[in-house]
Amino acid sequence: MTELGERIGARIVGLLLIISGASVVGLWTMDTSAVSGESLFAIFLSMDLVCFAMIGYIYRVTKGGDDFGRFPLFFGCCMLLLLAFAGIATI
Amino acid sequence: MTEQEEEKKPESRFHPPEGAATHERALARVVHWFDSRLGLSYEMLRPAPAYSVNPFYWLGALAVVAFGIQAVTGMMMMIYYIPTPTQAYSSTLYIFQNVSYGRFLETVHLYTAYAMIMLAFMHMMRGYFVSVHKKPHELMWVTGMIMGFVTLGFGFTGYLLPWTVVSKSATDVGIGMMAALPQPLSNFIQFLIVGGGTDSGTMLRFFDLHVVVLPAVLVILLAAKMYMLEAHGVSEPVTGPVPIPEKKRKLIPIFPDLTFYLLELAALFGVAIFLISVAFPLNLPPQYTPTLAAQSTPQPDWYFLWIYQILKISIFEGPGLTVALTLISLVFIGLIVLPFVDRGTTRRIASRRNFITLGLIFVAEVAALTIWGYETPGKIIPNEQAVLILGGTALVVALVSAGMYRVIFRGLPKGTGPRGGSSPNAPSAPYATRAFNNAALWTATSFVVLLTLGTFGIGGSLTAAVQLIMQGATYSILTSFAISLAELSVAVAGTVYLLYRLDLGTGSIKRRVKAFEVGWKQ
Repeated sequence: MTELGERIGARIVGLLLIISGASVVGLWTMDTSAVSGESLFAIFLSMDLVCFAMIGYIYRVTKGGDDFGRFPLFFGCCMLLLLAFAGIATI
Repeated sequence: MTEQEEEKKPESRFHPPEGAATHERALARVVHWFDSRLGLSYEMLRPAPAYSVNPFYWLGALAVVAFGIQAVTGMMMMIYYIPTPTQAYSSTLYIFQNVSYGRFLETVHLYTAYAMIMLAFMHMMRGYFVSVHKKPHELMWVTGMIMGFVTLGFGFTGYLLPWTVVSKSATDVGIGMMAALPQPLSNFIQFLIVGGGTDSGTMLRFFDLHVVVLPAVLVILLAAKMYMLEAHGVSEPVTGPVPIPEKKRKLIPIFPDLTFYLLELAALFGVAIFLISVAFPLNLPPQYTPTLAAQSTPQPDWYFLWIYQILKISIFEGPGLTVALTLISLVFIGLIVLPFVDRGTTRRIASRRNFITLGLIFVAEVAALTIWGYETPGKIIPNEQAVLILGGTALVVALVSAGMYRVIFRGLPKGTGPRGGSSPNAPSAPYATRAFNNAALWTATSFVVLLTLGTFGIGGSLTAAVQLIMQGATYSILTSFAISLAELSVAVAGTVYLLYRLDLGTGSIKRRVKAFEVGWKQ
């Protein structure tokens, strides 16, 4: 793992923590009686889980001294973007 | 605690490293906290080789994750659910309509059950193809098979609980079939799941089996299987003559590396289930009444359709039912005793042609019967049709398997080692390379894709040709005819190209085609 890789990892983890924090806040402030509630609930929960999976991956790779694979991080970011768009569309 | 005991206590391996980045220090601190409190440094579980960081090694673990999600959602539903014939449906409907996210909860419970069954099946078939049942894992295989039956038991008992017309009718059919099983098995199962025969008795038994007996059995079996896994370790990957790289053999600790890996997979699995559940929410069918049941066609859920389809073949009607059930039981028994039948030492796929072909036929037949069952609800299947479809499927798969073995494994050195590895003196090049294995895999995949395309092309063009003759030329018939012909052309051209590329290295091609040699290096 290069120093640049570690710095990128640190920034991604920071961003992921912000996103997951925001989605947790979203989960707790939801109106559970709303019709679109189930979709929003699933989207927020999924965002949290994707963030968790990505943080876990970054930790595992950093600890093992390997380089980040392109696909897992790219896939995770795409998932988060799609979920964010789906969330906006649902609201 | 004495001084000596204090010395024996192992130190946590996850101290925040000196001079590490901020995020690394923060994460290491969190891991260190859990590690020191939970005592994970005692290493109750042994480290596993790096090659086990592969989703295929974790299909069983994901099935357990699915079981966990079901347990949580099931417990939430139990708060509202009432297991009596008169109130089961209304309480389920109440969860759907009045409980916050009740429909989502029910849908997640159902889809996770489907996923659990599918993952268990994939886990079993992967194990079959890479021979995880070989010595010393025989009893692990047997335990896993029993766990698979328990999983199917979950499906069978859970299906009745909403008391819908679909679920009750299908369960009645299932119970009726069990009466045709040989004695004393039939009496025992009838007593176990039906009892006195009243609806309320059956309902209560199914509920108890679903929420108490089967989960307890599954947990005990899981503990036994984990114990055996810990004793024997995971099976090595089947790489044939290609040695496993040292990097992949490196041992990595269960905590945090493999635990994190499992949690990552579990998180993604959860995401998939949740998103599918909101995209395709469950609709509750009407409540069971004898009148509605008489009007509907009983059909089991998809995981039992293949069995149901076999039982619908006309030769198995009436007294033939016992024969059919005995045959199906023999398939299950065969799967359980597999480690004691397939006793060869080699795990190499190249050397297990018969067992691999049998496995492929089994998967293809189960898939064909399931799709066929879905397409023909309640219809008795004529014997000739059954022979044609089941025999045809088996024949096609056997031919494809024979072709693949001929194309891929022709001339490969025979292996006898645990990985199927050859003796040290056996020729290694060019077969003992990862590139060769990858090329073989790509060739096989392309071959199967082309064959599938060709099959659709032949079938489609024949159907369209018959329609052209019988109904005359219409726009839709001509379009489907053109599409089928195009499919067939692509399949033929692709096959010719594939065969040409395979023969390029041999120098046996008389008429060279430059367009087919793009990127080829001698």
